[in-house]
Amino acid sequence: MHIDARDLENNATIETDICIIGAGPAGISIALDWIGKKEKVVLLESAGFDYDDKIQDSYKGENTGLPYYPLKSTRLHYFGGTSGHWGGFCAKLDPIDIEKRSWITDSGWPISLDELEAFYPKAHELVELGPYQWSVDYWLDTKPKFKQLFPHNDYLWDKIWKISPPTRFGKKYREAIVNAPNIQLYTFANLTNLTTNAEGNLVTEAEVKNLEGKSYTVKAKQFILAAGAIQNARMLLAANKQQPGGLGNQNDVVGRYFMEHIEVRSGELWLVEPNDLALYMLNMEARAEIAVKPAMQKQLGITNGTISLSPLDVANRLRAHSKSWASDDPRQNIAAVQTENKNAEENKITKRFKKHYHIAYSMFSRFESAPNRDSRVFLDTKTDAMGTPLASLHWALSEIDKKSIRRVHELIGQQLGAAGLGRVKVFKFLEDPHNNGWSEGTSGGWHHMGTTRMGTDPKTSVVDANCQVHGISNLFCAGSSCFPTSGAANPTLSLLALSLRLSNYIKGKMSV
Amino acid sequence: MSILSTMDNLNPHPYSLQRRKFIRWLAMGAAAIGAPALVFNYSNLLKPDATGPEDELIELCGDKALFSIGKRWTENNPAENNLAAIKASLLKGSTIANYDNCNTQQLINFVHAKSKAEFARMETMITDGWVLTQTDCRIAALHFLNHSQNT
Repeated sequence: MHIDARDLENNATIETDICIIGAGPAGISIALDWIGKKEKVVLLESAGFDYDDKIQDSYKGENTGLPYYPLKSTRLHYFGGTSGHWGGFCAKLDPIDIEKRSWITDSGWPISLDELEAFYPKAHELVELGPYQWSVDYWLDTKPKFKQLFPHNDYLWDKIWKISPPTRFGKKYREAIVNAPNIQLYTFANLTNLTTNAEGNLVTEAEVKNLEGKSYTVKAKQFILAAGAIQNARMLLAANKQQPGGLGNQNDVVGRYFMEHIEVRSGELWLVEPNDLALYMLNMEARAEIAVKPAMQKQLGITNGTISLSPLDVANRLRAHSKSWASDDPRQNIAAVQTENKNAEENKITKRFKKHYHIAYSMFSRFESAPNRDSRVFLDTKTDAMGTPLASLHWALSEIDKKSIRRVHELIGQQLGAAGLGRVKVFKFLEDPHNNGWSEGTSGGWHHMGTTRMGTDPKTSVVDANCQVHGISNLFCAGSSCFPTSGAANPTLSLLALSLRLSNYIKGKMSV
Repeated sequence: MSILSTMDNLNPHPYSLQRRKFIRWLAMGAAAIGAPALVFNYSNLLKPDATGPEDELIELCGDKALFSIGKRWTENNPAENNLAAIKASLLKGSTIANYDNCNTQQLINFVHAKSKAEFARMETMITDGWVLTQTDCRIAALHFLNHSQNT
C-alpha cells in the first residue's frame, strides 16, 4: 500500500511491527523480503517517486577533507534511492576483505564471508546479474574472445565484475512494494528524530515530518535505518535530544571511519604486440579487472584493489569524474557524464587505423581505502528545511592507500615485463614513494561506507555482528554504513546481501 | 523521326551512367590509396629489421622518453657514462664477446632475456614514470649515448 504522508492528519500516529527508514536498495530489498509475512512493515521515504530538488536540498553539506563531489548530488533522495543513477557495476567481496589483516589498522569483520555468501545469490537476483557465475574460467569458456593477460600468474588474478542493466529499484520494485498487503510505503515522510525509553536501550518511536509542516509518529517493534552511510550517521547523530552525542555514539564512533573507493586514472599499459584485451573491456555482461592475490597483498603490506583497462585514446578524451560531477544537481552531472562518455567513444572504423589503439591502455585504479578514524561524517550547524542538522564530510585517506596503488602498478609492470608483453607507466603522482599527495583527478566512486561500522567492540564500532546498534536492542543499520572495511568491489551487491542477512536475523528474532 | 531514334534520344536517367562511372573511379581510387595503408598497418613487410635491443623500448616508451631515461641513468651512474661501459654491463653474463661485432638477433635475445629475468625477480625501478629494470635503463643509456655521439 502507498500512502502520501502529506495527506495524513497532523500529529497522526502509525503503529507497525517493523519500520524501515529509507527506500533505497537496502530498504527496498528488506521490505521485499517481508512481503507475504504476517508482520506489518512501514517503509518511510522522505521524497516521492520522482526527483524533487527541494527534498534533495536536505542532502547538502560541506566537504572539509579531500576534494569530493558536492554532497547534494552524490546520492538520490527519492523512492529507489541512489539506484536511480548508479552505473550497475557489481563484484563480490573477496575473502581477504573480511579478514583481520595485521598490516591494516582496524581491519576485520565480525562475520565470516560464508555468512554473507548465503545471501549473495538473492542479492544477485535483485540486481539482475544473469547467471550466478563469478569465476574467470566460466567467462573464458563462454566467450572465446576472452583471453587472460596473466594466465597462471603467482601474484595476479582476474577478478570478475558483472554489469547490472542497471536495476533502478524505484521502477523495478515499485509495484511489488505498493501492492503488498503487509507493506505500507509512506512517501514524503522524513525522519527527524528517534526517541528511546528512559534507559536508552530501546527505540520507542520515530518522529517524521514533511515540508508541508506536518509531523507524525511511527511506533514500531524494530527500527531499521537504511538511508545510506552519510544519512544513517546523520540520523543517529541528530537524535541527540536524550543522548547529547546522538544514539549509539557513547564512544564517538558514529560517522567516523567513513570510507570511499579511491578511483583514479593511475597509469598506462603498453603492449609489444597488439591485443584487444576483450576480457578486460567494458561490455554488457561481465569483465575482468586485474587484482593482486591475497598472499602477495600480505607480503607487500597493501590494501585490496583492482585495475581496470580501457583503450588509451578513449581514456584520454574523458575528464576525471571529479571534474564532470561538479554540480549540485545530480541530473546535470549524469547528463554531463553521459555526454562525455558518448563523445569519448571511438569510431568503429577509425580505431582500426589507429597505431596504438590495441597497444596502449589506460590503467584505472579502484581501491579500498583503509579504515581511518579521522575520515568522518559530522553534523553541521546549518539545518535543512525540517530542522535537522545537515551532514558534512571530512574525507581522509591514509599513507597505506597511496602506497598500495603504487605497489600494484609496479607489480603489474614487473609481471608484464617478465612475460615479455610490454611495460607499465605510472602517473606522476605515483612516482615518488615519499609523496603522499593525490592527483587532482583522484575521486571516489560515489560509494559511502563505514560510518556505522560493524564490530564486537563498541569502542571501535557502532553496530554488532547482526547490524544492531550497540546497546539498543531494536535499532539496526542496513547497508554499507555497516562495512568495517570496504573491499575493492563496488558496494551495492554486498550491501544488499548484508541487508538480506539483517532481514533474516530480524525474522529469527521475531520468530517469523 | 523514327520511334527508335526518338527512344535513343530519350534518356530517362541522363546522369546515371556518369554517376556510375564516378562511383567506380572513386572505389578504385580508395582501393589504390587504402590498400597500401592497410598493408602498412597490419603487416611487418614495411617494418625495418631490428637494429638493436633498444628498438622495442623506443616503440613502447617513445624516443623522447627513452632518451630522457638514458640521460638520467648516465647522470646517476657516472661510471656508465660511456658506450663501452654500458655495452660491457649489458653483456655481463653473456657468451657474446663483442657488442658491436655480433649477431644482432642473438644480442637482442640475450638483452631481452636479461631484462625479463630482472622483472621476474622484481628488480625494478620507476624512472620517468616507467617501471623498468636496470637492463632497460642501460638500453636507454645506450640510446642516449649513441644519440649524443651522433649529434
